[in-house]
Amino acid sequence: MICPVTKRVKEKKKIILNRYYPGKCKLVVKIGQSVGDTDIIGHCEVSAGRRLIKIAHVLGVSGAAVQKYLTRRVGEKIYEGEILARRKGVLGLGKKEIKAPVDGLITEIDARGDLILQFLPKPVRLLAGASGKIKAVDDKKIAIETIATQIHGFVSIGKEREGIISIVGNPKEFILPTRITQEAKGKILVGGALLEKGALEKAVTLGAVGIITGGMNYRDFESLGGGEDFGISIIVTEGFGTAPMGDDIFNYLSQRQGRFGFILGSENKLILPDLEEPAEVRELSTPTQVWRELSVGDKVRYLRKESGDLLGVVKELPGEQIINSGILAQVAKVAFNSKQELLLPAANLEIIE
Amino acid sequence: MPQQKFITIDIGSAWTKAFLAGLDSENNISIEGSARLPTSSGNFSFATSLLLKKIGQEEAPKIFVSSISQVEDVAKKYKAAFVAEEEAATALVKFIKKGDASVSVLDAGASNLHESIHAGDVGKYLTFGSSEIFLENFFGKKRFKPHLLPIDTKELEIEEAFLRHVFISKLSNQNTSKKMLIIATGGMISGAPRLSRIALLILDVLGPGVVAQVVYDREFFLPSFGALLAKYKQFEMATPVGWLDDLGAFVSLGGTKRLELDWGYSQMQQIELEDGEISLIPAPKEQKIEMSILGDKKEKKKYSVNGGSLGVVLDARQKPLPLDFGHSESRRLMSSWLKELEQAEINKEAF
Repeated sequence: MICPVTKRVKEKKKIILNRYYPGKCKLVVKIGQSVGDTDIIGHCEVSAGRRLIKIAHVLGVSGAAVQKYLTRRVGEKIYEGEILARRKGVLGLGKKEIKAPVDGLITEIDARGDLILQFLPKPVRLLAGASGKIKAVDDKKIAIETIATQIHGFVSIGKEREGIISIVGNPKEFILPTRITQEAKGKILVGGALLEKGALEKAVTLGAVGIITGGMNYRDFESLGGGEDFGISIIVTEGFGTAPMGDDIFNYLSQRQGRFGFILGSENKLILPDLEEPAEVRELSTPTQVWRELSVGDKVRYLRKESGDLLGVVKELPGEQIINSGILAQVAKVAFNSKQELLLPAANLEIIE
Repeated sequence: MPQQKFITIDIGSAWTKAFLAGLDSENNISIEGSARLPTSSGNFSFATSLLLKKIGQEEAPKIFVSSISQVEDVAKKYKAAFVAEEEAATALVKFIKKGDASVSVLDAGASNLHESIHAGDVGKYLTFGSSEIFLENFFGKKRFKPHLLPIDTKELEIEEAFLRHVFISKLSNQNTSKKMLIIATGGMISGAPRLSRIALLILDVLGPGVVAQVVYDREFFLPSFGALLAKYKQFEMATPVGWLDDLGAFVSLGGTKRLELDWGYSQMQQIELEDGEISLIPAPKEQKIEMSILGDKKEKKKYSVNGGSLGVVLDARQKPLPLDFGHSESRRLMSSWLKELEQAEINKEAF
């Protein structure tokens, strides 16, 4: 029998880290230059985005009447917190004000009384994020050769984001909304056996950039699909449903709390650049999936069980047998950490390296 | 003509199957060897090489069949022919189609996992309590790891329940005026532990008034056979031996009905089934039976059917089945139907 081989935590590998420009960027580094993780590699302007503000709806007036309540005209700038529109009430009652939610430029007011606010460009300093050497530069990104650890999960979603690793629960815990605090902003939250939907929504609202969890319900995961970016990237390490995060990943990340990392939702990968030059460096070749024949002594992960003993060692390969479902299958006798030994279909195992 | 040997490699999204097929001087096609492994996605050659080593017969012509386009390049590497799964299916239907009967291939392969499901539509067929979230997570995992096998009867039931849901939508335009020909193959069907489980699954998906002759691929060889048919003319007259099982005639009455069965003897057999009853009448596959279903207004619908390993299977349950997810009565009904058919199969074996 063959099984997929996974090495979920790949330490000290030479990788190319791509730093994509968040907007228009003026670079301050050259190819071949060495950089430290906190070095600035470019000065960028982030101006993408605009916001629709329903002026008529909020003030309770008709679309045609909106103009007379505005404090700015189309083409004018406004800064966050300034009054954008105001409706005076009678004797001070029913007074309504709308403040600009961000710095922006008023570009349009339509017949329904909806206003479009184009975000003003904000200067952003692009940091290297990793120590290494600049390998290539193009109009979209800077490629830095660096030494890093890669962590792979079961499944993931979202785009590339960067943030600080922050543990929010132990591997067997349910991640409930109370676990997500104001400090989640800019963080990659780690932990738990089940990411509860309310906690996910709260994390998005509070500005967390990523979540790494043991399990989450398929319906919540699927609801994040559809091609749109929903503001957060997620890696599910074990599977759908309640599944405590494996010790290999949890222990590694809990020892690196506060470190800067990159969560690549489209590639099912977390990258943690190394802070120090390691003694041994291995080139990383990353084939999409590696398979090999299962042998006695292999450390394996059982891919079906929802919780509990997921990791074990193959003790015996007795060949084909009829398993409890009545199906004839190649089986493996697996000893789990709890000393329990089970005969399992070999196809349901994954070799851990 | 001496016996010809062919090696087929069927690379599915979950499993890769290799067969050594022999075509003898009397045009009988049989399976002389087979092996399967999970599809080594990302490196199809890995599983393929191991399977070819196990099968041996290096000099035999090789043919690959798959719906995965990259397999065509893998076939070139092994100096083998490649047939797309769709082409194989067309050749297969042409081979199996007799007269004007409509042919439906019910493939239980992993490609079905891409179908969207509503957990309640699947869960209503289970004999045990479950939740929508549990079922969604179960199939979510299967979508990412399709080669996983059901480890107990509950997981087997969930997979069979899912197939009922998929097959019902595939057979949505059933014609009750003509006999259907159903070919059941793949995954949990070819690997089913008992024929009675397949029989109930197929009965459950047939609409009221449908009469179907059912053929069952016990080795999941049909896609490979389709590829051979598409590539080599000599298979057009071949007779499958030992792997394609005629299960018999499946009659979904949709409630109480009277039937007349003419076995070609002097007397006509008359049968009246009670509402909800399932009955299995032993009849070998060579046995031809002229069957008349009598309607309320004395009209007769006539069908010419054959027996098979299960004979003639009569089903007088209401269709669609009166099942609801989360209802204990639905669970009781499913258990009783399964037991009824299992018992009938055991009795038939004893007989």
